[in-house]
Amino acid sequence: MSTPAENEASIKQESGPSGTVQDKPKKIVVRTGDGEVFELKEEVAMEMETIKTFFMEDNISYETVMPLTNVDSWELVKVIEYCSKYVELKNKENFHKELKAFQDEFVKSMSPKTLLSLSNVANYLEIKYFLDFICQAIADHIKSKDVEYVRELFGVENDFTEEEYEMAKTEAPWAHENLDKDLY
Amino acid sequence: MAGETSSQVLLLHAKRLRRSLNDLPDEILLHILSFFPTVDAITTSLTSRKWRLLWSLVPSLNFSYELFPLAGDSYPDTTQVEFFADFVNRTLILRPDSHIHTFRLSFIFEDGYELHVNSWIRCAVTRLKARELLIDLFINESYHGRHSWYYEFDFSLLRYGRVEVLRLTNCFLSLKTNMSTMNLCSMRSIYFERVDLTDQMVRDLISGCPNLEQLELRSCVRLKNLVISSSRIKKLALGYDYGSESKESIEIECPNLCSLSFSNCSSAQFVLNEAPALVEFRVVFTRFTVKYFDLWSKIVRLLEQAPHVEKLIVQNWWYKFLISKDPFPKDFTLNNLNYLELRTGYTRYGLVGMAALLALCPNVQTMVLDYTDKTHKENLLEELLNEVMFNMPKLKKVTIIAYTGTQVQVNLVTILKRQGVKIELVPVNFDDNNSYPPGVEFTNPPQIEFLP
Repeated sequence: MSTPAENEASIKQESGPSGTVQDKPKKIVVRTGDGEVFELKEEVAMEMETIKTFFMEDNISYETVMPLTNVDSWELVKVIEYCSKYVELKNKENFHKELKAFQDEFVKSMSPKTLLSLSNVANYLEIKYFLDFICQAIADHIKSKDVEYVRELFGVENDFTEEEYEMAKTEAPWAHENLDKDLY
Repeated sequence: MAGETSSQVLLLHAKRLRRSLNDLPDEILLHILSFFPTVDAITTSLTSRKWRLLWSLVPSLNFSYELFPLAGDSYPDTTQVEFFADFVNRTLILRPDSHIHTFRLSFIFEDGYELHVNSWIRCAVTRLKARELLIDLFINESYHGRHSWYYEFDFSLLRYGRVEVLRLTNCFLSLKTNMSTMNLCSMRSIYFERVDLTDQMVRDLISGCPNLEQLELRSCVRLKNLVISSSRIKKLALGYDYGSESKESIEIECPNLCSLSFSNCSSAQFVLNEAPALVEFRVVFTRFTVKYFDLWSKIVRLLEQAPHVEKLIVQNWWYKFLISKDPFPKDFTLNNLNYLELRTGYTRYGLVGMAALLALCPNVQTMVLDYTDKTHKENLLEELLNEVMFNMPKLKKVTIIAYTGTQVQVNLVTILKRQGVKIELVPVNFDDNNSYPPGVEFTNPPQIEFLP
């Protein structure tokens, strides 16, 4: 499943990493962990530091298919969606407003677990602005939730002993009392 | 997936399991926690053993009085301020000595809390080596009744730290008399709002911080003859002191200044010494009466000292220069100006002013028109109003914000299009807050933004 070329990709006149002059829109090809192959526009792919370093550092030809073993295809689709939009809006005057509108839509239907998966992917692909966005969304989500919820979401076991738990509670007693439960 | 053996499939499956959320790396968890106000980050410490100390590894602290839960029924004898102060004290004790990047505090200061605030700042600066110290003691009007207490920030608290960015809102300031010996080399950026500053204190401040590059002073109403003299300062912003009638003069002597901004800035006299490196110049007023036109005109004339500006953000009252007894010199041009942002109305006066301004900047490529519905009408000669000639040979792109499709706007768009200019129209959104209020805005960027 390859991404359809929607808009015109930028046409570069300078030579590519392989040293030959290319006047076709450049694409970078990656393979996700579940075996799917994706064609990315160069400008979108270069938003991901991991991919950028892979090709730029050792001057690897764009013909090489880069393996992204830690990324699933559905995750990559979402990442491409966000990064493409970001690149499109980047130079516009109304950047912040339009980005906010897009961000609200983007997270609307996402489950918290989805957000967590994406944070992992954002970290692996090293896309700072996407990571910040996802982490902020996760933070906003769990800010008002109690301990049990957080444990379940992150798949974490309560490994405290009774005494340890009581100690932890005394360290910041008022912070755990969920004083404005009714607000949430 | 043809050709894959069963062991390869198993390996793939195992890889996926390993990637389960249980193994979300600590760096991501810390990143998530860094978006919490500290009081919320601490609540996560009950999640598990690992999480118990995670909050304390987040390299920032954020104590927000306005977000703090109320004492409520559990602590009936405690005031909000006591409760909050207690929380901050305990948190700082609990926290290990690992360094933080940002220490942010918003608090409503009360009599008797000097020692508390001093110790918090000392902890942030000396023990935790914060690089950014953001202290807001105002928050908003609703917290301040008839009686207000003010904290006095002792600048020497910064001596043994490495604070690079300092933001103070609503306090007194105490500076040593021999500030030049302070030599606070780390300090790069200072933002003072509602800080009790005198002219001498500003001089002392600059001499005590030899590497100061950015300075913003807002609502510092005790300044009378402000002199900013520094070869290091690159970005300067002044303002929000209209209503204080007492400022006599502002003199800026910063030969390496790159960016200068005046927002609702008031003074009887403005002097700008040569600033050959000035690239960005901004003049904004949010109130519109004749008095502000005079101020606007005085500040805009400073452009004569900075003819190389590339970016100009200004209110469009330019039509006034056409009838003024003191216009710009006949051959004055802003040749390097390539970006122009105009706060303008779309009356004839606005268009005439726009044309006059565009005549001064033959190389403008990008123009942004932002809407202001408050233009001051005067009697312009009828012939001046009828013939509006736009001369903008290099103009490539125009963005019109808050476009409402009036006839004048449509005509303007037509003229521009005929010239081959690319137009972007941003329609009015009535949910927006269309005014530019000088509210306290607390952002945490690596560089201080000069807010409109």
